[in-house]
Amino acid sequence: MYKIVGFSLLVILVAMVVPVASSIDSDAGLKQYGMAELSLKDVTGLVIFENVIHNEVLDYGTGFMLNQTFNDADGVDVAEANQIDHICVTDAATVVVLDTEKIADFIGDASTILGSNGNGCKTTAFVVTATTATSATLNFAADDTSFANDSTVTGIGICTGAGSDNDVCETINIGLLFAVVDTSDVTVGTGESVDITYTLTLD
Amino acid sequence: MKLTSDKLLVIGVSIAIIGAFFYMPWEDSYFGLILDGITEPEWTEILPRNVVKNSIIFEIINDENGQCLSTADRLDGIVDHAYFVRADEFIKDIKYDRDAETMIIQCNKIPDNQARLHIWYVLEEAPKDSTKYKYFITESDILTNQIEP
Repeated sequence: MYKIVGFSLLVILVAMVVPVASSIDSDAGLKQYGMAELSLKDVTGLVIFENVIHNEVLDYGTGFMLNQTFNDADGVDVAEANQIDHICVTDAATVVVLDTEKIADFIGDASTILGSNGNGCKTTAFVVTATTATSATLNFAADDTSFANDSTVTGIGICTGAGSDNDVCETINIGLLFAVVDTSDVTVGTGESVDITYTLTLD
Repeated sequence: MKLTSDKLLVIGVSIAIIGAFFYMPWEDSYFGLILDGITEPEWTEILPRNVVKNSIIFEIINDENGQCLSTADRLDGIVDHAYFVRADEFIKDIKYDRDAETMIIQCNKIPDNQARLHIWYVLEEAPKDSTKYKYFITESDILTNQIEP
């Protein structure tokens, strides 16, 4: 019996000292992530639903950051005159999140930006620190203020701004889609609204 | 007492295990991997980008022998999300009725007639504690950003 116990303990010891060949989630190394916080409020202002979820910074987004930061010897100090300052909500049936995603993939067509009058996109200033950029908390209300009653928010786009509000996040030649968030589907009923805040962290 | 070679093996390996436990980074070993699979994750150590946090307000409908039938409006938006890989387990845990939009929770876990259900889960692509989830209940005015991981 001692032999069996001894060999069992030996197996445990081997399992304890042999490392697993995989990356470990640790605090070491560069951290970069964006997070969207979405809160659904009822008519009284009570928060009835929350969703805090990460984003995918797209290739266009990382390219934008690098181009704006580093001199690529093209003779232009800053390639893109517009900064990231718009948040848009979409009701696209499927929010596809791929590194190489283009605006057209996210939006589908113009109608999937909620709010035909352009209020499905809102402008925000960001509070920028050494490691984070945080938007203001933007309120998107139903009852046609932002979009029609019982519209369903399925995702969020973070964009640069140019042209009218409704053009942002839609047209690759006007707006640039920086990041996409595939949120939980949230139906916004009469008198209800969603608050959205976006934070990007580089560390 | 005469120590046989088998007893020596047990004693020696036991000492080695104790030493390894205190002095070696076993968390990154196969043993650590197995333990990760069965233990509650240390939520403070999981990068925020790998955790999705949700909450809904709910109200108690009735109390049946300490099991509270409660509203579960908008819970479908959480459990239907593609990132919530183990949503089916969670649905069974709380006996979620999708059609009636209700769930059943132990009454002694609910602080008031109206409370908030929080559901956190780790993304599948997270290198550690992948797909683990937890749910807990607070007063209705306690929002996600007010809770320490």
